[in-house]
Amino acid sequence: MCDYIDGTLDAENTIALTTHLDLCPDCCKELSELKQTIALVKKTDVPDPTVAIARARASLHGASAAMADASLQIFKTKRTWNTNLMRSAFASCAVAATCLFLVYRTTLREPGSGGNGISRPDGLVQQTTVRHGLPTSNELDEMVTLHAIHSLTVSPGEAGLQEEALAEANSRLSDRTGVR
Amino acid sequence: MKASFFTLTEMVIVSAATAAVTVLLLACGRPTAADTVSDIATQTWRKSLTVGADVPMRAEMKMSQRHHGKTYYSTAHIVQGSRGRFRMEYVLPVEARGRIVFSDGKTNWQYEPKRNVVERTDLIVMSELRDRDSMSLIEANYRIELVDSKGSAGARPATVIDLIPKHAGKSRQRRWIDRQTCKTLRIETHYTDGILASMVSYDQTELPAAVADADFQPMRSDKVRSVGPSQIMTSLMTHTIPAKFSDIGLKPTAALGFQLVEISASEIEGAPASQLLYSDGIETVSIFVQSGDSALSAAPQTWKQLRVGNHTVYENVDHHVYALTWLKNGRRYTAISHLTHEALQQLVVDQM
Repeated sequence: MCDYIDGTLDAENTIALTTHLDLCPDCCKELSELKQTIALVKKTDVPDPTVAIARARASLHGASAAMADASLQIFKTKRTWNTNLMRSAFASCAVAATCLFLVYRTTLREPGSGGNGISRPDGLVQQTTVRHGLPTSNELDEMVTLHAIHSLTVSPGEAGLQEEALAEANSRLSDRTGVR
Repeated sequence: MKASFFTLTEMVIVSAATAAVTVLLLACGRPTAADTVSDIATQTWRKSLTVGADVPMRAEMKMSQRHHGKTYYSTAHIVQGSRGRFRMEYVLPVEARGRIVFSDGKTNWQYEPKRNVVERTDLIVMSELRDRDSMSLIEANYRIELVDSKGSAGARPATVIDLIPKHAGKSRQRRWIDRQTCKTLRIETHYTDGILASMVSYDQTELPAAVADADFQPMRSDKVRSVGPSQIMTSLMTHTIPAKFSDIGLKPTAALGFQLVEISASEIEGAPASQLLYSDGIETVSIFVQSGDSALSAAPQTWKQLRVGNHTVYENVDHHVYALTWLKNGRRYTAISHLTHEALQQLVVDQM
């Protein structure tokens, strides 16, 4: 699947995998999750290492100082009282997180999705591979663009001319979908 | 007297024979002349795809394409080399100004000034064998006719030819071919109703031009970010359905002279799909195969339910783009084409 996502899988296996994905919701879900993970990693900014090291050192220095202060305080105050307070805070946070999750599940899930979709915070339903009903306008639009791109590459001769048109079509696709 | 009578009879016979021979010659001669004209058109067209394609050129390129009932125009400075190499610098539309596309015939690099990135795309290399395949497909499905042997394009003398479809419901194409170099200087494709579907033309041409390898290489700079392909698209060139896909439910040969030429794996709105591309050399039909419902209760307003033969299909029309969808064995098939809807229905029914 990684080779498929990277675009390095050979043509025959890619088409075989696609055909399988088309009929296997489990694998399709796995692919979708893998893609999201990769997209998240790509989106994460890699900081300038020198700046990051300097910040880390400063933080460590500050944290050491704070810890030293805290340690001093701990020995100065009642230890039992502090422990109980931390336990209570941790328990409260856990309960709050559980409540938030339950509220999210019950209120934001798309009604009538019938378990065929994975709900997302934006209210959209991520579809699994089974396409219900007829193609949506977005699906049709994408099919028409793919049709145009592939049509240009099969015409005979005039390779330059065809590729110019292909680049043009690719640009339109990129502009429309905002990819890259 | 008698001798002169026979002479007269002989003269009549000779005259009749001469007339018959003349009529025969005329009758045979006319198709021969037409054949010659047709041969000129076919030879010119073939040369434009072989000799002409490799002639280096610098020019101002204009392109138009039709989308959703509107015509969009682009202009660019272009340098073309042999073996599919080119560099194209966009001038219009305004939002594309500064975009530069380089190609060495195997890889495209597209520089996007707004994002300061160069995106690489590996191309499907056009083999000569495949060109010959397509050439014979076109000659099987289109009549190549000479329109004007003394035309002009880009202020150069040009031969004008038409590619006229043998089957109804297909677009026709007109090409202007440079008389000196056989370079194609203009192509117009018209829908069946006469509306211009697409156009490419070269003006202010330098032909043949002096070009160097450096013309087709992307800029190298630390300030420009280089990225790989943004989409997963893998294609397999084939005229047959591979054994692995024997259950896909489609035939490699289709009605109206169409032949399977490519199977691709792509994604539609994030979900995997297989795309089978059929071509008659110029027109194309894509059939997208995805898993789907076994039946539909009602079609949305944008779709029209049709009964074609013994089958139920759903049609969506967006100006000159026709889509036909049908469900079969838990799969959803969608055919997309610029054919007229009657022609697309004929092709789809043949596949069902």
